[in-house]
Amino acid sequence: MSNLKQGFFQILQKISSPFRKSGPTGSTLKTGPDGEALYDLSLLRELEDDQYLLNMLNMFLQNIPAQLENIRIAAVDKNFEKVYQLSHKLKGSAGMLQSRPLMDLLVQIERQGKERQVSMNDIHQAVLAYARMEGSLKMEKIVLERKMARSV
Amino acid sequence: MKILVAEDEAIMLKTIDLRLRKDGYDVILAEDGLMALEKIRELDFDLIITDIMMPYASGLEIINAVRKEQSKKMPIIILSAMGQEDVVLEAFQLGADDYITKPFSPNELSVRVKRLITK
Repeated sequence: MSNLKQGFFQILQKISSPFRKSGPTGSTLKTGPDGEALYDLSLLRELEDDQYLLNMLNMFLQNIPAQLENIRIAAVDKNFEKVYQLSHKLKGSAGMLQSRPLMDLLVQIERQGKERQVSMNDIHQAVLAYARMEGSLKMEKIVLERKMARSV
Repeated sequence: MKILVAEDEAIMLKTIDLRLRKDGYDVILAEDGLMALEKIRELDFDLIITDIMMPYASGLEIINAVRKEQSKKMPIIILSAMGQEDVVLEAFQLGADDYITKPFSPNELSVRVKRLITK
């Protein structure tokens, strides 16, 4: 492929990045590079309250990685009851983000906790699933903060 | 109208709180089962929304405590998680009136609350 064509395709790739693919900032659905839905903020946006949405984004950004780490530690300690309880709780709140990849993994880990046989790989995959959306969530937060600052 | 919300998960609690306050209800929050039971003893509610799995006392224990008290006939909505169908059935047997599965639409919760609280 010629340098010109290569350059053209590189520009095309940048334009069709995960962030832009799902439309202008403030949209609800974010997709990954493979087109899979990373998360969907539509449930949270139902409340039509920017301060609430900002609080929720902050809580997700703080709580999800912390809780995933707690699940990992509980699994290492073979505290299966704790793995079950923590993944059960996180499943509900992460569910408000409608993140199918993360929720599916948490359902699996919850079941594994109950069966007392936890896969560290599934926990690792859950961490990766969150990592895939963290950047977009942070961008959502920044954009929202700026929007709120402008409207003061 | 006063509503008790018993839920130990902060994101859920804040979401429900805001939705109900926007609808004009007076909302009392309980972050665990014991706190919920204390609030039920102290105050009269028009409706209770309770999670199932909570520290110190479960949602089922709360339903049981409320229904044993003859004077307290307020409707109860339970918040269930996916895969908790057996627990939901048990909750109905104990006297719950409705359930909603997490994750849920705040607007759907609003409609369910309105339907029960105005009966």
